[in-house]
Amino acid sequence: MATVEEVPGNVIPGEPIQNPNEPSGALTPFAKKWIRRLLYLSFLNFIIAGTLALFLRTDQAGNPNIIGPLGTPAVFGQLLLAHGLGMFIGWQFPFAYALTLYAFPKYMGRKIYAEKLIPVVFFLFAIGFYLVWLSAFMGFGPGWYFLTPLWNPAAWSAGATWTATDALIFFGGMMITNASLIVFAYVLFKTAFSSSYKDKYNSSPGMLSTMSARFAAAIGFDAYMPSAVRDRIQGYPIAAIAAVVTTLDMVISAPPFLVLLADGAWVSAGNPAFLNNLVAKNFLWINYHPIVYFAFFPLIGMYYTLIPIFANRKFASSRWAKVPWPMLLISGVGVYSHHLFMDTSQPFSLQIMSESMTMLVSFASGISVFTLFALIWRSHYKWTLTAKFLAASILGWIVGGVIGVEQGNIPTDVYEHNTYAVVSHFHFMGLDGIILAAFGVLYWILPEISGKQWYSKTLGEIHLWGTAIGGFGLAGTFAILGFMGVPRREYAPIQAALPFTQIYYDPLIAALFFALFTAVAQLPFIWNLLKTMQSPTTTKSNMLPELETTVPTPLPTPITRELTPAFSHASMTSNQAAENINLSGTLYTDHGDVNSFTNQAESSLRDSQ
Amino acid sequence: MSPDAILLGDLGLNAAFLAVVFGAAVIITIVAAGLLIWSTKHPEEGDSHALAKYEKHWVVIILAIFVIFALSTISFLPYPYAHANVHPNLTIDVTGQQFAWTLCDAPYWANASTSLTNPSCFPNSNVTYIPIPVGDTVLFNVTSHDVTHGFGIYQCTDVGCTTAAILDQVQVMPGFYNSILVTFKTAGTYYIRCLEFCGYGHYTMFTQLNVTVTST
Ligand code: HEM
Ligand SMILES: [Cu+2]
Repeated sequence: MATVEEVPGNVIPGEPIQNPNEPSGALTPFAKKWIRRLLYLSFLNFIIAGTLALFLRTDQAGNPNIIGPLGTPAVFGQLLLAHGLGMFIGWQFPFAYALTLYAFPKYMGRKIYAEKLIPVVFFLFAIGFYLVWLSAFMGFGPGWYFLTPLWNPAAWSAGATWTATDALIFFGGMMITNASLIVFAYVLFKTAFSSSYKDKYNSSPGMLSTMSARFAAAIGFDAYMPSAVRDRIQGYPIAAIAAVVTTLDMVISAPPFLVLLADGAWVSAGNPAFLNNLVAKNFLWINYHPIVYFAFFPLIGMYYTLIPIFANRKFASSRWAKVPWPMLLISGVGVYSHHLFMDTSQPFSLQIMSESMTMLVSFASGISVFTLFALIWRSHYKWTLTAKFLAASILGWIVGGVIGVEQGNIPTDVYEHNTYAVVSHFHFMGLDGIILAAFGVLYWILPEISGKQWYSKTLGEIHLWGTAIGGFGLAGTFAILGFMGVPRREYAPIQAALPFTQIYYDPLIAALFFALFTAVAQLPFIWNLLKTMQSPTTTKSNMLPELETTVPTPLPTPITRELTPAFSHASMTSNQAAENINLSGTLYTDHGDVNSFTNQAESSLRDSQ
Repeated sequence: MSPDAILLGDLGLNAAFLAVVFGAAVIITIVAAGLLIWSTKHPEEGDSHALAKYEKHWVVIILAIFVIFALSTISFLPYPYAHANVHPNLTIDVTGQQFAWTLCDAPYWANASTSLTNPSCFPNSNVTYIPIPVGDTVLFNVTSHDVTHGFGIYQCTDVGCTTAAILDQVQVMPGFYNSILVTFKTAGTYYIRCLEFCGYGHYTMFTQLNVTVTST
């Protein structure tokens, strides 16, 4: 018989928490409820956006009859928009919101500031984003990125068009989506920086607690300071740093993008544009680049949080874990002009800045990869389902990074820009990097925030392997298409008048195959999730997914209380129960910013090894 | 490298080369991942976290890789202003328009009343008959009449043109002239294909360009 010790929540809603070492209390039932809703919304959008991609694929394979006679060039454009924005905004925004709102209470012990605003974020987002999808459904279809001037759809003699109304719905929807981002950023920054929290981040004896010290800590900049200063700065957990960095990037880049949206709406209403085309393109990418990092950075934060747990090790130094973050902060926006490398009228200073920044991002990623690699190397690594998802996603990150570096270097980008090589890059990153990591995290945190155990471990494993094989196969095939020079965003890449396009056929069919494979692999996930949602709530306290039960480990000694019946669930092994023992741990072995995390479930997993 | 090299492609470093680099990186990554998995099956007794002390070395190595990669290619920037020493033999003005290309050799273009229907240009046709002598370096000045397009030049890599590779490309933006310098080293057929989604008919926007053997 194993035991658990329950941690009582001790937070009065609406008040700053007094005891920072009560993560389970900081993560209030209200926050959990909304985090859950955000997660469900995000994965719903993922499934829809992924399904739309199947139609894109059949269009391009020149074979609309395979799964549907949707294909016309106009529908293809609408699908490009609905799929691309469905993933990067529809899926990614609510996921990034949810993960961040989870990470702060969980790893920093802070109750979310003004939690009552979370529903505002949720509804603004849902309204804004579904307007965007509605506009695509009604006919708006310039693809996920739209260039200025927007085309006049009537130029296509076949007559399919979008109306001014459709375009206005699109721009309006995007603005509302951005409004949700701004409310979210307010909540997040208040949680990160408000001085109303009475915890160690705001005041520890002998530590600096000025705003600048806290800001430095919140972006990981303390890692660059001499140890005399560093030792007096209370370090933030990496999961929190990641969230601050990505949100800062989003907020910094929002104003120009809002101007662009206003311009788009103004023009759609029949007025002359007030931005010139080149400025407009800059205003687009300055925001659209950080968008792709919005969930990715917090997920990297989760690598730093969960991998030490699986490896049962501490980072050798908090410094190396933090060094990448200020670089990521600057380059998250600074790389944007790499989308304009082939515009020779773009000022050279911006081009060369962006090339350097792109190398800086790659460099920072390289440091992270090594830090994590070293952490896992010859450790007693626990290959849980989440651990496998994270490992697969790191592979996607590396491989996508390599092809990305080729595109981030101006002279080599000539051969890859606007080809499938770019599509390959962001599917390695997006599908194999971000999505796989997000699934890993979802399997990890859902039981805790829903109080329900996953219905089936086996379905989770099938989901993992299916998505990984499909996802890597798809992005790999896209890479082949890219090196063959196949243009991206092409309704029918194979043209009779272009003899060299005939050989595109086989890889296009292979891509269709992997797309279908990926889609089928989502069925066990959907089933598993639905079954889990239906199951009765088993516990109110923190608990780990029941998936992590394969490695037999001895029980830790302290036994304080009998398990509740819920914990004796048939499928739960003694090992898993052991994971629920409350012990506290630290993330780093060095001095200074010892981030203790007392989350009973996670730290005990480390100590139960 | 030849003094008038403009693009990496002139050194043979085109998409095929990039594919090899990518493939090699993928293989290294897979091997490293395999080793990592293996290592966790053979954990250390003392759990020394031994690799961590090599972080500094690794940082130096990857920094070196990125710096060398960027510096070794920087002289091949695809921007004409980066190659003041290269003098084009021919200038071709290009206009993109939904969904066709119009190419004119500059003299005609300059003299004509800039209308797309100038008979000396090749508007909206699938073949452009501007003779380009082999070995000539051409300056393409491209702009657009309507929306953003992408001017991509594909070079056939075999006789029947069953395969082709991107030779060079540039974005085409209304209100701006973007330019590239291309040296045509072999005679034969080249294709110009739109590389930016410019409307529903985007995929039909291409033309042929013939490079002929003439003595200059
Ligand atoms: C679920 C499996 C997926 C499949 C089968 C799929 C397939 C596709 C296809 C066929 C295209 C069109 C490529 C082109 O011709 O330009 C595309 C574009 C795109 N995909 Fe995916 N994709 C998937 C997942 C994702 C994910 C996870 C993301 C991001 C997180 C993503 C983001 C995008 C974006 C941004 C575009 C570009 C749209 C545009 O050019 O307007 N996709 N995808
Ligand atoms: Cu075009």
